[in-house]
Amino acid sequence: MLQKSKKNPVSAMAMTAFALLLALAPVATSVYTVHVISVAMISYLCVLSVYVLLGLCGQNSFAQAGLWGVGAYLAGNILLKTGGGTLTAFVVAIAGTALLAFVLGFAFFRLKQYYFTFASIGLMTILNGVFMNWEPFSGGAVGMKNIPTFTFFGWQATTEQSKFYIVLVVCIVATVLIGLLFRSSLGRAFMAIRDNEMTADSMGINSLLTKSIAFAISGALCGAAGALHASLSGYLSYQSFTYNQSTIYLIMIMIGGTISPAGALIGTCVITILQEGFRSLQDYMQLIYGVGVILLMIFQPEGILGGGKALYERICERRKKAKAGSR
Amino acid sequence: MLKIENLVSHYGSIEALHGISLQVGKGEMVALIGANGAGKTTLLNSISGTVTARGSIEFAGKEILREKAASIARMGLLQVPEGRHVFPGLTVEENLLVGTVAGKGLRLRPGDNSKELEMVYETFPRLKERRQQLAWSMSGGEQQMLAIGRALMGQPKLLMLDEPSMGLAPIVVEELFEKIVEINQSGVPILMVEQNARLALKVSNRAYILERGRITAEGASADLLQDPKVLEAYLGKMVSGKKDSSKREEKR
Repeated sequence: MLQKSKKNPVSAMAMTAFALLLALAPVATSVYTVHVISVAMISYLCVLSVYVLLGLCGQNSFAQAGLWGVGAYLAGNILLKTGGGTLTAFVVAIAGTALLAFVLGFAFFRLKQYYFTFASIGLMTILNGVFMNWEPFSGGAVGMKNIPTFTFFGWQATTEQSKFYIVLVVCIVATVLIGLLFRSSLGRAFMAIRDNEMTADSMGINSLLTKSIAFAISGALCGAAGALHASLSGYLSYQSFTYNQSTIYLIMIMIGGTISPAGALIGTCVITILQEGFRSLQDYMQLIYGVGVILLMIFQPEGILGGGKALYERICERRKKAKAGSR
Repeated sequence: MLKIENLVSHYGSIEALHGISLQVGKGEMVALIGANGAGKTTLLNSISGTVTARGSIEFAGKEILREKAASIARMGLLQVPEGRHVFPGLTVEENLLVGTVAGKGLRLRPGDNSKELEMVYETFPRLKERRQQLAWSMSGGEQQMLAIGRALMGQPKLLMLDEPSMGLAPIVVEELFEKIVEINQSGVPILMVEQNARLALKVSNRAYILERGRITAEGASADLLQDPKVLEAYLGKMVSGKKDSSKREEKR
C-alpha cells in the first residue's frame, strides 16, 4: 500500500506500554497517588486538546481551561439539575463544548495567528467571569457541590480505583481517536494549515472551516475532561478554570513536545511529578516552570520528545554505520 | 476555459492591474511574460482569489471573481505559487495527499488515492524515491516538482504556474519544462507566468506580454518570438544574468 504512516512505531508502542503500566497503578500505590494520577490524566486530555490545536493545526489558544470549565459545568448541571446519568452528562459536555468552540472558531479564526491567540485570552477571561457570576449555571462564587460520581446502569464508582479506570479508559479512547485523526485527510489538512495557511487555502482547503473544526475537536477533548473532572472531584469552583491553568497546559505541551500525542503525555507527567514531588517548593513553582521552559526553548525547542527522537535517530544511524563497517 | 475581462486589482490604494483581458482555451498552454513588478503574480493571485479585484473572471462558464480561494481551487482551477511553498513539515507523500482535497474535498477517511499518486509518480519518478522524506529537506527543483505534483493530485481543470523556473539550475529547468509540456499534452490547460521569456515562448501556444499592469502585446508564441519589439525588450537587452542563460541555450 502506498498509504504508509510516518508515525514512529516506537512512540506508539511506548505509549501502549505506559498505559498498561498505568493500569497497574491502583494495585501498586496508595489511594492518594491514584487520585493524583486521575487528576493528571484529566490534565492530559486538556493538553491533548492543545496538541490538536497547536501541534497539528498551528493555532495557539489560551482558552483551553475555559473550555474545560464549560464541559465541567455542563456535566455538573446535567447531573445535579436534570437528573441525567453519567452518559448523558458526558455526551452533553462533549457536544456542547465542541459546538461552542466551533461557533466561536468561525468568529475568532477570521483573525490570524497572534490575533487569534489574543482573542483566546479574551475568551478565557470572559468564560472565567461567566463561571464566577452566572449563578444559575455555575453556582457563582460558591461553586457547585455534591456532584454525583460516575454511575453506569445502576453501578456506581465509589472508590478512587474504579474512578481511575474510568478516566483511564476515556484517555485511551481519546488518544486512539487523535492518532486516527493524525492519519486522516482532515489531520493532513490541519498540518497543511500549520505549515502554510495561504497555500493550503489555494489547494482547496477552506482554512476558516478547517481551523474551526480543529477548535471543535479540541473543545470536545476539553469537554470530556470537564465531565470527568466534575464527577471525579464532586465539586466545581470557578477558581480551577483560570488563565493560569491554560498556561500550564501550554507549558506541558511545550515541555513534552508538540510533534505527537506522546509529547502531551510526557509534558503532563513531568509537570505533575514536579508539582507533587516538590510540594515544599510550591512557592517557587512558577519560577521553576518559567526558567525550565526558557531553558528548554533555547536548548531543545522541540521539547523532550523532540530531543528524544533526535537521539533515537542518531543511535539508529550509528548502528547502521557500525553494521556497515563490520561487514 | 478561462476568460478574463477588464480586470482591475488594487493593493490598498495602489492600482496594480489596469484592465486586463485574457483567455485560456481548452488544452492550451498560455504564457504570461513581463518584467519584475509588471503584475504577473498579481494577475494569478487575482484569478485564484487571494487578491481582490474588479472586472470579470469566468472559469468553465462560471463567474468566480467573488469566490473564495478555497472554493476556486475546489472548482479545479489550481495555482502553483511562486517560490514553491510546499508544506515543509509534511513528507512528500503527505504533501501530495493534501493536494487531493481540491478534487475530493475534506474528509475523515484516508480513502484510496493510489491512482492519483501513481500518476504523479509516473510523471515525477524522483518524488517516488523521496516519498517518505520531509518536504523541507528537498532541493529546489524537487520542491518545484512536488508543488506541481501536489496540484496534479487535485485533478486540475486548469493549472496556473507561477515562475516555475525561479532559482533553479538550467539543467533542472529543462527537465522541469519537459514535464510541464507533458502535463499540458495530457490535456490540462496551463497558464504560466515566466521571466525566462525565450523558454516560455518556446513551449507555449500563445502568450501575453504584461507591462506595468497592462497587456501590451499578445499573439501566437511563435510570432512573438520573431517580433522585433519583443526581441529587444525581453530576449535581447535583458538583465545580464538572464542574458547569460539565454546565450548558453543558444550554444547548445
